[in-house]
Amino acid sequence: MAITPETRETVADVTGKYKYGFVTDIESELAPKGLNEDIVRFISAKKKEPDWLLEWRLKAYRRWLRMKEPTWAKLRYPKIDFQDAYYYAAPKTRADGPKSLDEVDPEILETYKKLGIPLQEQKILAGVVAVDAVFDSVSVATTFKEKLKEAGVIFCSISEAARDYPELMRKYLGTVVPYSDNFYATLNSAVFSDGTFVYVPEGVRCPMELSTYFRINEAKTGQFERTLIIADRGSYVSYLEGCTAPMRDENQLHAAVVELVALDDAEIKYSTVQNWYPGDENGKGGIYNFVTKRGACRGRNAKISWTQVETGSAITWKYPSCILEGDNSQGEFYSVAITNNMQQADTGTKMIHMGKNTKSRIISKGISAGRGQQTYRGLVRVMAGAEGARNFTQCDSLLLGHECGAHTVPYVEVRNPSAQVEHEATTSKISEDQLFYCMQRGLNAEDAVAMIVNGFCRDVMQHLPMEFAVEAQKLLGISLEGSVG
Amino acid sequence: MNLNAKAMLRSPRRRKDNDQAMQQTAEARYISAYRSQFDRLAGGDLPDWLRACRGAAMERFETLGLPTRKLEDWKYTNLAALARTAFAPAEPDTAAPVDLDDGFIPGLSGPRVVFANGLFDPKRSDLAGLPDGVTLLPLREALNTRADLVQQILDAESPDNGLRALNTALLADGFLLHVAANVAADAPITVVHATGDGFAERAAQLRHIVVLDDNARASLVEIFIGTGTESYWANPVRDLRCGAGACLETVTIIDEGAGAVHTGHSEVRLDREARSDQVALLIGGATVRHELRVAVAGEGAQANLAGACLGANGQSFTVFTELDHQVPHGRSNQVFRSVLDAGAHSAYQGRVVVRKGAQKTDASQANHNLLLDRSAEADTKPELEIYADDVKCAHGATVGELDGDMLFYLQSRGIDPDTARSILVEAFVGEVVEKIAHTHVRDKVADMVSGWMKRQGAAIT
Repeated sequence: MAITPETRETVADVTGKYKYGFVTDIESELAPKGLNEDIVRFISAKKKEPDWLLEWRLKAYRRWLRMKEPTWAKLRYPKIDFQDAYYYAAPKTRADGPKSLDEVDPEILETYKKLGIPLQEQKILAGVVAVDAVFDSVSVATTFKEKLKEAGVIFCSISEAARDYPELMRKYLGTVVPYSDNFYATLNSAVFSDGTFVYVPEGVRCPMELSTYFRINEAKTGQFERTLIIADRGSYVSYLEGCTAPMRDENQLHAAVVELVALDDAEIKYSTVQNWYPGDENGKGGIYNFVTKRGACRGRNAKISWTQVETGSAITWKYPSCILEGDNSQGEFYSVAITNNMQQADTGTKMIHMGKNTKSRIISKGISAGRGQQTYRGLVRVMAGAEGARNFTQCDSLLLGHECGAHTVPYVEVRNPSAQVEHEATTSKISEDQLFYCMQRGLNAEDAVAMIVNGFCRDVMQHLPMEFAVEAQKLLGISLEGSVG
Repeated sequence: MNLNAKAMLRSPRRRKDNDQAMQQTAEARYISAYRSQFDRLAGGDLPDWLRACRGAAMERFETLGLPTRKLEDWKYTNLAALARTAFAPAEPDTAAPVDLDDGFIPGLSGPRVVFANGLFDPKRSDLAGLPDGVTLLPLREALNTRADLVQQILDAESPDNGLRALNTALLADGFLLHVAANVAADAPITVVHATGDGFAERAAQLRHIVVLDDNARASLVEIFIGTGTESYWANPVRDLRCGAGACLETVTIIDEGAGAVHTGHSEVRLDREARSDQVALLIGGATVRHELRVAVAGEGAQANLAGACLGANGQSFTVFTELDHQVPHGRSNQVFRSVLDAGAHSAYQGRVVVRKGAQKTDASQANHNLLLDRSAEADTKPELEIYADDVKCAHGATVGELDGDMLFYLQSRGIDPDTARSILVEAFVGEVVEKIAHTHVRDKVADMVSGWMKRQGAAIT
């Protein structure tokens, strides 16, 4: 029987070390290398931003100059030269940018197609997902705008929002992650290039999943996107985020900021599948991923849920957090993180309980293989006024191989006696018995491990939207390749 | 109060600068105390190695300074009191008689070492009646007769702790216990640290060294007791070495005076198949830190650490542990429990490190906290750092209040609320208390727990 092209593709899919490692050859417009006030002004001018936003960026930049890089994370990497990168890269297009999808450079559309994200609206099955695609520093296409507009949902790039919805931007930008928050968030505040803005009006259940796909293409660029999602009273939105980058020998910086605001009775579900280029087996290349993600449950009964599958990046530094201000508000954090080869991840969450009867739940599954090092770092803080607060935390680590490491650093701080806080963690390896049982049933070692790992991660995977869950499950298998036997 | 209010009015930056200035002057004061005391301290007339060792320790202290909350290991311990007050070293004229009635454990006979106001008290100590092969000496004497052992320990100083360095630089007194191979010193040795009047603004820098040779056995009961309300500082350092197959049991009762700062630091090294069981009760003192660093350096060694904190009235307790599993087949178990009433704070900072190659390590950590009052605070940070894959490591931590259902159940059986609370609290602490092997010591600790509960009950009603 002849081998069909599909089979070949599937095999390549499964065995290819990093299948998103290609580069799109496209003419780009780059800002001069390095970082100074002029670059900040340049970016702001490129985006035709209002003055207040430029002022805000400059304030952040000046603050950043005085800040020190944090060193408390269990991560080892050479010092980053912040002057040796481009802070702005945009695909060259007609002067006034694409008006519709037809005007978007076909090369870019092709790139997204290769990534499995067809932007042509008609190609999207039943229209369940609206996509905002960010290519290096700019948003290249946002789909389903019209349909969303009907529902009253604003879904656009953040540069558009700064021009078209200045009141909303001014009211919420920087209120969850202030410009002075931390080294990387401050850097982002100064140079953020693009990202997604979502506003769901009162009482609206967003009719489809919203999604942003981030792609770093240009060499030696950093990507600094900023996402702001506001769910007004009684609304609901589910948002997905995916990331890839080409294979390159040098390290590239990604420092994003995500801010979520949920008002009374609103719910935001934020899912991430992070698959930036992780570097090769010897730790050459890969993305440095320093991300600040935080959500504020501002109103009563608000809910924010983070789900993340972290398989990529050479360095991951990421703590999606919830500030539970409103009474009865809820925060959730579900995470699967894989470190293989030389990858390092220091990730976790913060749950700050301020309102009465606030609840939070943390489920973290860490898998370490090869020479990977992984740390769960989390904080649960119950403030004095958080009567009846409740937290449950479970962090499990799985070690594959004797050269990797798995670490757990939880902080629990409780200032209210009526709080009930529980934390538990375990570290183990795949037991010989489990492996033997699977292999006795005819599975090879690699499949057996993949199956057991999928079982280990199930509690988290089931919280992913269906479209992502399948992709994420495949990703687990690929990421662990070469770690068995 | 007044001072606090003033500090609040100042801008944060100013306050930080001020704290730093205070810190620096405090360090300068400790350094000048060392210089003036140097020749009068024990061993001042002794060989060069000790002089060199102390000089090096002082230099380390000058570099490291007093620990601040900016250091991760000191995140939950506020040592501002050390920078505020110039705690002068203990001197013979401070060794006023201390009322010791509470310091001993009823029914417990056997050898005892007594330190009164930071110095060895030969009159009340009783070092006789030890089996052959057991050496128990005041440190001053040991510096002459067992210099080999002391030097070996002091040379192996860990470099990163400012308070330990200061202890070495100023070390004045302490004891040495050495148990020869295959000798069992089963009767517990009582070590009493009593502090009474006349020790205000003084510091006790005691150094205790315990060396158990292969297959030796010993049991220690350490009691820190303070009778006054004056402010003083106890900075005891213990170095415990267990040879192959040796077994060491210790019970530490920290019941310092109401104004005291206690920063106890222990380093334990376990060789092959050695075992160390350590139980602590933190009950008295304004700021108390109980730090245990255990190196599981021999295969099959085992460490069991347990402790209870009972806090009220603005007391602040920290339990800091580090279990360093360096070799395969080590076992460690930790159980720490806190009960906190009005204004009390407790922190558990525990770290388990499993080094590369330390396969088959079995380590567990549990920290449970009971808050009895709105103004209490519990912090916990059970940390795992694991570099080996074939291990069993788990930790659990909880914070909560007394279970309403349980209280209701007891009351429905005709038990009054105060008694019901006592029963539940004593049961909660019971898991720690029952780990004490020696009956008299266990009874004493259980009495202290129920006495504490009665005092809290009286304070509430």
